[in-house]
Amino acid sequence: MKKRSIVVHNDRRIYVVEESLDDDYEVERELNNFASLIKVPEGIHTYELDEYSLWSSAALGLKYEDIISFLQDNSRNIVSDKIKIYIKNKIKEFWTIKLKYVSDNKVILEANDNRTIKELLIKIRYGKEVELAKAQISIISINEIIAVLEYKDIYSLKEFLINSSFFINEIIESIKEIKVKVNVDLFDYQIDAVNSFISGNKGMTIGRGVISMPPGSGKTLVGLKIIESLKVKTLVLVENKESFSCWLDELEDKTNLAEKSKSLIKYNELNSIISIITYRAAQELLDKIKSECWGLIIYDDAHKLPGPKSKVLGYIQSKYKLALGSILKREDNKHYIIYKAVGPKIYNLTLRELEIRGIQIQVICTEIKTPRNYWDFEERENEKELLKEAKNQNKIEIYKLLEEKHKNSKIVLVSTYREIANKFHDIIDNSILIDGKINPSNRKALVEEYNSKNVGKLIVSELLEKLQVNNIDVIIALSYIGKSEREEYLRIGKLKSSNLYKNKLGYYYALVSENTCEEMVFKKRSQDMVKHGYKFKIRYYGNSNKGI
Amino acid sequence: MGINLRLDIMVILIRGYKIMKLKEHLNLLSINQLDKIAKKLHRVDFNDSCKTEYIKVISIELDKYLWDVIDNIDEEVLFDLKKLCFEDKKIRESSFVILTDLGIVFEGKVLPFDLKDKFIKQWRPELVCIFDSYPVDIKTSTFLKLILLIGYIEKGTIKNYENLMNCNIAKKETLCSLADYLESVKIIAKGTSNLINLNKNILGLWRNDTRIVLNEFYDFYFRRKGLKMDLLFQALLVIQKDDREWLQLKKCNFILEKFIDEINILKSEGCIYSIIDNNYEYIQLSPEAWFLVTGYIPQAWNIENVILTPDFELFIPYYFNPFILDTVNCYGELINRFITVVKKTKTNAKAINKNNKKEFEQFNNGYDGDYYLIYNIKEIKEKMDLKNYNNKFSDVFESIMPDIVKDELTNNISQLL
Repeated sequence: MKKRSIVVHNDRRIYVVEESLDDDYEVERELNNFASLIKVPEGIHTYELDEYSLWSSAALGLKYEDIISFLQDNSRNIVSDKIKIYIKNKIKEFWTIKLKYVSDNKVILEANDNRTIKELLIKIRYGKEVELAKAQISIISINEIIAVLEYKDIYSLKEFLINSSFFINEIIESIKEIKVKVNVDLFDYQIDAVNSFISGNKGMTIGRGVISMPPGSGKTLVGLKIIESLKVKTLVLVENKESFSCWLDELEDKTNLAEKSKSLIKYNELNSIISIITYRAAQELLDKIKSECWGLIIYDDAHKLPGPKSKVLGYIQSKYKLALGSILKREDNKHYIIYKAVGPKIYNLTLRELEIRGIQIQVICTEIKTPRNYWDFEERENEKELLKEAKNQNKIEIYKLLEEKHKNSKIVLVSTYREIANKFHDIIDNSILIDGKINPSNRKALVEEYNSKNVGKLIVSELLEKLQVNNIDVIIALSYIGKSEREEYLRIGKLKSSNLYKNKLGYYYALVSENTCEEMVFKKRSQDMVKHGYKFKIRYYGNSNKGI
Repeated sequence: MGINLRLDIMVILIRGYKIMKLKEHLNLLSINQLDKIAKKLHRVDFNDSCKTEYIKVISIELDKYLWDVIDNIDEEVLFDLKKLCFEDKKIRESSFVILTDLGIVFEGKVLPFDLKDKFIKQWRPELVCIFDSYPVDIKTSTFLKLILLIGYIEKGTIKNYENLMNCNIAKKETLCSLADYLESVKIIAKGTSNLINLNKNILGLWRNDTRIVLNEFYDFYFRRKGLKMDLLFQALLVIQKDDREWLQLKKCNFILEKFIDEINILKSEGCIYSIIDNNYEYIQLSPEAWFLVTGYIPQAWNIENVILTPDFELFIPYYFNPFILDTVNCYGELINRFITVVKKTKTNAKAINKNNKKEFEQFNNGYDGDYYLIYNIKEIKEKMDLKNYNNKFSDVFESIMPDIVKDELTNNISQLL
């Protein structure tokens, strides 16, 4: 008999009991079609039935009866009538409005059915938006109305539509065409994500929507492929300079723009091809951005969009809109703004699915706490606290134990700080060191040398994500730049995707100095990682027994 | 009288002093009575036999052809035989006569225990089944509500009697009973201005006596409601021999039909669980009620049914050991239940602002419905009573505790030391 693996609570939360899940995670895959993923820590995964994910499911053609039947077939408790009614009502309220910009002060609102128009008129006439209620409206056909509005009101009209549960489709002509060609092959799941966006569902959601994939699964590449397909002038909104660099690196490494990328695309500057701007800078440049004619806006790290100051960026006119993220749920519950401003969830992939599909291997993550025992006591001016704490002699002892444990493996040691990398290079026989000082051609040769071996040790500082290192069995982290989740994803992600033998396990060890700021920093990183489904064990290195 | 009856002791008590086999019963009959039975069993081929010969022949007949004999008796008699078999002696006189004539039932409506064992072995599997997976309509038990209530009083969320009587944990009538019980065992007392005075010493002692406390509470509670549940529990236990077994209600009609009202009450109190499968209703004692009446720890209370995530959330299923839940309740913050202490009037409902909308929804829901009670244990250190924490929480959950949680809590303890 099949195991019931979900529990549906009356507060619309759905809990997936990991232990009862089927091997191919079919239940969770199905659930993702109509519920929002909140978090996936080991043991139990949390989803929420909200109007936006249900609205997304309606956009994908899912029916109320199918959702209820799926929930009841898989739930350990009887799904309450309250939940059933909620689903039914939200699925019904799937309204799409097309906005055609006729002139500076004229916009045509077109609906996909007569009921939507009626709903819209009621909301305009009897809603709280006084200015909107004054707008001159002419009905030109059963499905079309013309609202004559001052241009400055377009944003308030959009906000009104979004708040009134209308999905906006914008019709914009004369967009500049661009030619970007991605010159690497995509994984099947990445192609699926691109196709979901390009083809939409029965034409209902073409070119607008949310793609949700775990960190390190190649969202940027999916974004670039979509740019290639649509061939339109694009604005990419990113969280920070680090994300900007990530996009730029991908453009440089994986598209026809190659080295030209750096001269064409500058940090927080608009250009005629692909502009990459942070959410913060975009607020300052808003008038300039609004005056441009955008074909595509990509909201990267989309959970940032609903912030009080950045939500206005959701109303910028663009023919196509794409939101990228891993977990979009926000503490303030304003993640709905993403769906309303951009479009429904059109593609979702979990970390576990990547493992099941053999795209990434399972990694056992272990934090090894070690007592302080510095090899360098010299106080240097401005030396970072994290660097000081990383200089722990016991980390060398632990490395030796791990080397013994993983004798016939390919090991990579990563350090944020070059000094630490050098120290380990000095003590590890026949190890290869790649740091920022080594020029790109030498770097490539060293990577090839390492890749050609069956057993070996590679020590890298900062650069790991950019190196084409294959078949890594073990990664040992020696130091940390800060609380950055991203650095942690990149390290573990490298291991997960570098060795795709079936049933292969990867090992990630983070060596952390106990009772120090390094431990505090790493705690934040690991606690963030567990929400995405990573599993961390903790081991202690004892001074007395010299074991882990 | 207490409710709890250990299964083995209870069976002996019910069987009483007449635990005799068929042969022993037959031996007490006269030759004429034996002859009548032999003839009824169509054994007419012997004359002038001695008593021993009759007993031997009848025993062999009922041993070899018992099910042929049973097949030939009519439905009503079979119904009554099942009643007798499962400890209900209120059967029709006509049935008693037929069964006595067949040498199956004896003086005092007694079944020989060897025959009875055979009947039970044959019939019980038709009455019960085990489901691996089934959807349940969730009811929080009254005792669990008491535990949650104590937690709110202990944490100071419920400070006075007005709060207590108007909170959303249970209906007012139940809340009255819970308050009266707590007063009767002197855990709380009414102070000035209706304030609740909590006696922590007595509460500590009360917590140590799990099964006695459970028995005492339900004894008080059922008596208060004018309910006599002992006979129902006895009847259920004759059929349900394992805490995972479900009784098909319709098939068990012969013994349970007279308890239908009590069963419905216990279902609403969360002491009996009910599921529908293929249009048939199945019932079983809740794990808590199983523990109450048998004293055995139900398998549902296995710690593996609790989930502790590395994200510091503890998921305890609604059917879990209420005493373990009491331990968590002292320290953790219940995050999927919201206590409201306002009067359920229109004015007050309106007073709940938008921020409390979620709470208001819960307010309407009361405390039934959710499969898990979810506790946030991240801030546990703030409220931690070190001695209790060490002795209970850590011990209970150690086997399911992820490293990240273990490390954090251990650090917090060492900082307190």
